[in-house]
Amino acid sequence: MEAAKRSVLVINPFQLTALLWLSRIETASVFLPSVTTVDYAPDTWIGAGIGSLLAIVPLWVMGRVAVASGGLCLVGMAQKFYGRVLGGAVGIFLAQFFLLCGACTIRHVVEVYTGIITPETPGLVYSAIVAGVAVVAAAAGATILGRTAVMVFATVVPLLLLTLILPLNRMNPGHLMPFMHSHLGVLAQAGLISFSFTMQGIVGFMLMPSLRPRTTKEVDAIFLTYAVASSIMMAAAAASITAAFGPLSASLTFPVFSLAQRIQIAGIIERMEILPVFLWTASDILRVALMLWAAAACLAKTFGLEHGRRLVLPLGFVSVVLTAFIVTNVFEMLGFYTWDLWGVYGTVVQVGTVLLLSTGYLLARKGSARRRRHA
Amino acid sequence: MRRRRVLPQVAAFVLLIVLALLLAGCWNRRDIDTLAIVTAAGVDFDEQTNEIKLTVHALRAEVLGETAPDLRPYVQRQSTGRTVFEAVRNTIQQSPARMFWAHNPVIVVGEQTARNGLMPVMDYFIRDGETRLDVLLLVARGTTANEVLKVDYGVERLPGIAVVDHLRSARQSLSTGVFSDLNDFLIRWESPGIQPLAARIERVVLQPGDPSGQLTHEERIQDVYIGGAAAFIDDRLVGWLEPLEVRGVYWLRGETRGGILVVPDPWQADRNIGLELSRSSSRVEFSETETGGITCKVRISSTAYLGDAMVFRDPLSMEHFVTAVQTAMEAEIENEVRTALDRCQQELGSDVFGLGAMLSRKNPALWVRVKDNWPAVFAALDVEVEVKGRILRAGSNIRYGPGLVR
Repeated sequence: MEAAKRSVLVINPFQLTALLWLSRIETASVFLPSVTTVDYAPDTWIGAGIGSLLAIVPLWVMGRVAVASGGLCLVGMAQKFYGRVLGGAVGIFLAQFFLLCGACTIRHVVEVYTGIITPETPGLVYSAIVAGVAVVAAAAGATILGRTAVMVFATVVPLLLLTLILPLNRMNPGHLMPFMHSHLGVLAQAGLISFSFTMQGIVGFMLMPSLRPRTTKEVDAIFLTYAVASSIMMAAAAASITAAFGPLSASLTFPVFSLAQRIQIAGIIERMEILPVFLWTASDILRVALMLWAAAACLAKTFGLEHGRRLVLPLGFVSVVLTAFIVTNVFEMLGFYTWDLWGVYGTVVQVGTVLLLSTGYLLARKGSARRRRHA
Repeated sequence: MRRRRVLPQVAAFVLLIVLALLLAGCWNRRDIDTLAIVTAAGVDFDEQTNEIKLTVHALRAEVLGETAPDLRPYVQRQSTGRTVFEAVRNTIQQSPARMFWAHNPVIVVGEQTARNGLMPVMDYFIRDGETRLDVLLLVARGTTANEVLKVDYGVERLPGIAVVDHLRSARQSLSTGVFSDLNDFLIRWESPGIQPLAARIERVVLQPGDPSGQLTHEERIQDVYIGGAAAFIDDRLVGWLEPLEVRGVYWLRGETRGGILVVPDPWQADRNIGLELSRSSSRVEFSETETGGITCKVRISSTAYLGDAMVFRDPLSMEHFVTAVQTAMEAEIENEVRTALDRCQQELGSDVFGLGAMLSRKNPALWVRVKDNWPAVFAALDVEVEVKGRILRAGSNIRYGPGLVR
């Protein structure tokens, strides 16, 4: 019985990697290109790529701290370094952050389906379906999440590649020229929003207690490959969209969907819009499940519950309610993910968390060294 | 312990029931027999009533499979509205079937509407989720879209499909027509330093006894002509390009795909030689003059096959002949480019070549200086054209001719 309970909590490095990559595919393929190219510039893809790569540094630092702390989750580390009360405050803050990420993701699915496929269907229907499936997946535990991620990953990654490669004959590399001639501010904006999305990978540290094996090498590999993959995905998506649509890329609501509409090869392979729709559905559900699981784990750790599975269902309800109120229309949704709103907010929260925990770790290590010297 | 086992089973059962209810059908389902699939659309702006006039061809799928040639497999419907969207919805006043736009291949716009600006009538097609940006855009020269869509095609039963095939052939086999969809149009419109082009369509009234009228089983009195292009500044039509001027634009952009280039026989001026074009490429370079002006040098390279000569020539025994034809080919290509440039620079004032966009990529600093004044700079731009033509083959009977037999 005990062994069975333990097995539900275990996730291996490959599964965690797949889970994190999937959570980025959603961002790269739904709305990131339109966000980074709000002010059209041929170089935004470079900014998006570099921004994601920069996330390697805080993720690497966080990985080292997590391993050195004995594989605690984010809230566990906060409680260890700052005590139960302050650590609990961090836990509640992170829970709402992950819940917000999950609710926003549900909202993307709603906007995608009602915006381009079935405009007359009430958005609540899609919110409820996505949240329902995500709740079931999250409540099943880390292992099931990880296994599902591997299966979905094997399907979704080839589809993402097809979506970006098949319209090659409709792309004009000239739209990416002149190379490196954009205003630095444009690159910085694209880089910041991309960085803030990639930094969402810190949600992976909530799964540290379940990760087996959990050596420094494994943790480094998970988060470094994640940041590199995120950088490639975001740069590739932004570059493909810009090459295909040039200045139009700034005005498309769902650029990757429009890109899939452009697929036309030999008069046979065309009307492939189902590719991104499948991508979004599969990766979004898993991303929502991951965020719900993480939010539940934060609260469970904060309030000393055995595990957070029972919190997943109520959090699912909350996320559906949040989805309805978080933004009132698609304009607000796109405005929500601009560099000066989500870019700044996401960066402050996530880098702030890394700084807080790594500082706490350093202080704790210094304190224990001093105590050892006194002893 | 017992409660913990029962709860998941109840939850799974409830989930199954809910899914069975949710997945039994589609919320927004529209059965195919309730849809009118649009196969061609035309938009005109009626200045007298200040309303949009929409003309659509709605597919009659039940007739499409019939062999009876007199039955048209489409119904032409017209509606009006203060906006295109309203006009689209108003088609329901004539038929309960709702228009389905996802398969519409062409949109025709009347000349006057295009001269007034396309944006007010195109926005619906850009914004709506059902329409697609790969729909081809045509402008009806000298008439309205409604009149053009009335013309019956002889061979192809669906005019919309016929227009697509026609345009594709004009682009690929002649390089004298524009195969430009809404997406290409919008990109050119939004991009600095390049102006949009759209396909040109004309209604042609046939004379009684015209052979092309006899090709069909019905008495055809009208036909359409597709070739040349409509040139724009932003979204406003400013003039027309003739077919060879369109090819001039393609030469400069290195986008000529095929076609027949007729050059005078270098040794017998009253005879011509037909060359089949194969590949072309171009290289455009800009330089700044000492007085602060800009000059442009275009290097065009093209290959062709000797298709026909009106008098026997033996390329193998007269090596100078090929060289002379190549020189004539180069002169003819340069002439086409010059004609197009003169028309666009002097008459239309529209940079459909995209020279400004090329300058912005090759010399961004210089572009920043001139972009605000680009129309004037383009009009006065000194363009030097250098052509390199090569004839690669001479057909399957390289030396055939009456002179050879004797």
